[in-house]
Amino acid sequence: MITLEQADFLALIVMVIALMPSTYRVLYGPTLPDRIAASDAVGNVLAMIFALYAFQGNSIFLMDVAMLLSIISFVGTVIVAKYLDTGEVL
Amino acid sequence: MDIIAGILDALSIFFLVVGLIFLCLGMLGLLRLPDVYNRLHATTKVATLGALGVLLSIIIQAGYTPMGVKAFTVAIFILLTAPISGHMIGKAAYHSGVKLCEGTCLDEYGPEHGPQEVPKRKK
Amino acid sequence: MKRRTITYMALPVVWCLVSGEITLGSVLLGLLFGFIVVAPFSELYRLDEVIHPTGDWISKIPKKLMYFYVLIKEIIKANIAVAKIVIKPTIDIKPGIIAVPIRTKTNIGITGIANTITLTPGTLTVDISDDKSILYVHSIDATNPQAIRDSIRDDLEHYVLEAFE
Repeated sequence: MITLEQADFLALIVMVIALMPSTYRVLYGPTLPDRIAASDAVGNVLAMIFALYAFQGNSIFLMDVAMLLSIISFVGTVIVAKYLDTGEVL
Repeated sequence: MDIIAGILDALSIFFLVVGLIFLCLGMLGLLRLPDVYNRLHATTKVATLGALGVLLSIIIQAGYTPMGVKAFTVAIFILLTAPISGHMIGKAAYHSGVKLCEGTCLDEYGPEHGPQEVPKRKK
Repeated sequence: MKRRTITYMALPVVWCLVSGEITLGSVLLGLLFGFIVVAPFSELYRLDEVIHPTGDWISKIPKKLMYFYVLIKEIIKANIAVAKIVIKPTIDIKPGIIAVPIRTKTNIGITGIANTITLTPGTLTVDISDDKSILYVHSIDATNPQAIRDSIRDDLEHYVLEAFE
């Protein structure tokens, strides 16, 4: 029987493995929107990795990192998509 | 009290496993599906539920502490913003002329909204 | 009620959620930060515009809870549907973009229904027409477009109309 800490550690490993397909999309995606969507997914999964790591290490400030990572990933996605759409940002 | 703590631990591990499965399936969908629009289905829906599962597991274990409240905030933020970024990427992809994939059977968005026509079947 | 008042009331709640401590001191700190943060951006967001909230906002809270219940149920159904497609050894799908007429008129209703459509099985909102009456929805299975239109109109838009209008 595994403990809760070991389960969290295994979850971290699984999430890092889950990052690989989207990294492939970011590097070799055939079009630019593919890369934007994949980098958005990478940002979400990275935020989850930070959240789980913060909980495992019992450090509240790493949870702030997760929050900021998801916010910045969202804003970056919207800005790049809007630039691709209209040719200007504001 | 031991029983309640055990039930909470089991519930937390259950949500963690469900979240991880959906996260992996979302990333697999990003790799396997044929064009941008279908890949957006995978990232906006499946990866969102995976993230919510992981955060719910953290909330159950942390309870009403600053850690749990922050995890709740991240969950609400992801639930609100994932559809918006999917919508923006889809619109930008259509306007910049990314073609729909080969099996597409219907396009009512019309050629006047983007530089592309209804896709032709390749032999 | 001016939009500025609503902003000043909402920012302390956001600060409490972000800082993780729901106490009186946290609320006061959030109020102070709200005044500081809003000042440079007051010209950008038309803060002095007067909005009239529809009167029975409180009485619609049960319907809003019902809407969230339907939303969560549909999210779980959507995930299982897409996960089945992803996990099959050969991917055999017939996607397409469908025009769906909607009945909601207010901005918040349109936002709600667009986000709900994105989170529900096999559909993803791409754009809205210029007169705000037609949503263009990318569906992962577009062999029967009339069925998708019917299911959106009957299942989802009903709850959105009840909750937000």
